[in-house]
Amino acid sequence: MLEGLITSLSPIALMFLLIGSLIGIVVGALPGLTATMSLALLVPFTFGLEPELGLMMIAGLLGSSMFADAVPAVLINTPGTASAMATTFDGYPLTRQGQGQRALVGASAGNLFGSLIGGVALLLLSQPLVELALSFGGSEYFWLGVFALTTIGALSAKSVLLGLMGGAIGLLVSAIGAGATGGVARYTFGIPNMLGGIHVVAALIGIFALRQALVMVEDRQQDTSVATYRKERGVVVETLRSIAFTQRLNIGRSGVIGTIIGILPGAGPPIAGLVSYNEAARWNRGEPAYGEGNLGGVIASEVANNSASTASLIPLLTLGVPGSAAAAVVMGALFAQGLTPGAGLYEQHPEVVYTFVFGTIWAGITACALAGMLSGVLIRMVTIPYHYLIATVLLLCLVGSFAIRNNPVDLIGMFALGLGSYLLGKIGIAPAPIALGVILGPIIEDAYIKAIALADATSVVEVFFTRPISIVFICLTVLAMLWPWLSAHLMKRSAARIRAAAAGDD
Amino acid sequence: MDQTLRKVVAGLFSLVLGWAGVLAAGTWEDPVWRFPISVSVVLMLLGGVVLFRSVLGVARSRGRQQDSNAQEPVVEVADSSVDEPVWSDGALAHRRVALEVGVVVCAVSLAIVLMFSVGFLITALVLVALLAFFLSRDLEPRPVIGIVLFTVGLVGSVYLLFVELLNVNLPG
Repeated sequence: MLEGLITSLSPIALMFLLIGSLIGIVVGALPGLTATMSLALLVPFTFGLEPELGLMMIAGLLGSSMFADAVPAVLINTPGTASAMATTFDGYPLTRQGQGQRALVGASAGNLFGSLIGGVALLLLSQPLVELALSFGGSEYFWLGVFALTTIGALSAKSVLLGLMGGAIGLLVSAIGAGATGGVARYTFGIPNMLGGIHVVAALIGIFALRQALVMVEDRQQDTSVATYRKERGVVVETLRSIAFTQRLNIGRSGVIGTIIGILPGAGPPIAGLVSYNEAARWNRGEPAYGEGNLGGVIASEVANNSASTASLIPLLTLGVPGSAAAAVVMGALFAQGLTPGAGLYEQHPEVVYTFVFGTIWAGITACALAGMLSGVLIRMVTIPYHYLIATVLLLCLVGSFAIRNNPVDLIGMFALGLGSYLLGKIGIAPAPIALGVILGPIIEDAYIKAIALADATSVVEVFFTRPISIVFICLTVLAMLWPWLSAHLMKRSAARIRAAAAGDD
Repeated sequence: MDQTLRKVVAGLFSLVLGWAGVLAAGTWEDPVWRFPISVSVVLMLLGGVVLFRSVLGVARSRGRQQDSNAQEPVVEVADSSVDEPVWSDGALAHRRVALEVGVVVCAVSLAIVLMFSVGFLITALVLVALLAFFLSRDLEPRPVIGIVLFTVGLVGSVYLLFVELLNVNLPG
């Protein structure tokens, strides 16, 4: 751990963190471009770097894009990414009241506290989870993979079935190329270049970046009307003092909510922001009300989405299962560096892991500092027309996916998956389950083959359905599948109870 | 795009992709192919379930629509104090659903029987002909398409189960 701390503080590592933070802050501030998409585009450019430096760059991008997405949310009522959705509820009303600077300072502080809380959770919770993961066999990993895929499928799509369908499509895509055992060509159509399959990073670029570019082409309406924003002396100090005295409970509660939601596969920062905002509004006793320009709303959303973003790395680094779409891309980056996430990573490359973990904490601080220095530029960037962004993204998609292995199959695969995920989005299949399927495919297959080999010696039921940890994951998988129906039923019941109570009052 | 149509397309896509995944795969005995075959079968099943639910959804909404249409004159009858039977709420909807489910079950049974008697290819041709027939009759196309596509999916699944996984020789 100490070695990781020292490496993360070395000048070269901090320089790459700063580069990543700058890219992240630019991308996060541009509505339409998502953090996941920018991560996918950045990963090919980290191949040539030492793993520690590449991961520091990724940590910087991840941390700062989570802050910068609050800029358009506050200024033009359009969240830079889905994670800042709840930031708009109070951020934009504050701007309209002439307090935009106060809202941005609040968002910046929220980002810093969120990163710190998530980072500390990452440091503290990793070791126990690694020890648990060491006891996992093929069957446990198989069910863990299925659980992660089911949860993400259930939470990220409009329908559980459509989410699962997306996951299965991703798994099938991951099967392209030489088989996991024996090197048998699968779905290669006799093309030798396809033996290596579609590189996971090229697949992610297609699924997230190209798809997003196509969505932006389709969505021509862009709100470029920035509300009146002016900088005033003393606002920063006054806002920070107010946060220190009145928002401590809000920060702590939002950080815990964000961390818990971040650890759960599938939920991720957008849900963390909304849940935390809801809780903050429920606990609020002061003025103004939430939704009418209360700084607490901005802080609750930003603390939660930042802590969730960092905490989503916990299942990735310890169990090898990404907790969010962005974590899936980080997993792709680790694969590209020849590192396999999971308990083994902590045993074989602890310095790399801890450098990355500390990098995520420093990223919050860097983002906060950059936000203060670049606020004027960020405000102008919010209104950059889409056509410039789309052209840039497409160029980066092409260069990035071809640069990985100089294999035209990656380029074709990127196009096919980008177009495919765009079209699948039209029928309600979200990109995240597809990406998770692509990422988790080799892991689930490997675990499946190991478990089946064991099952040939004993029995399938014994191997897959009788081990305690497997049973836990099976129960969680079933719960994840039933959750949308359960929650809808519970909401109906509580609505009926409220109606009945209201009728009683009348 | 209409929500139901979306789901029908998604189900169809899933069925076709899963089917293609199985057809392009090797044998189940080869461990390398077990994972892709399993995923393809799951994909087909999901597609089948999505299509089935879409069909049921459309049948229910049509039932409700007809139910409300049927109930309108009843109000007038009740006002004129004539003792006419009044449908209870949702009774027509349930009948409609039962009818649609019955059609699905019949279509599936027919497809399975056809498959075993005259062969898979001929069954597929019959299904395509049925689809063309229903479409040309200017009927409400969505439930019909759903039923036919669901049937195709189920036939595919059964075919897959018997021929690909259990190595049973079917005629045709």
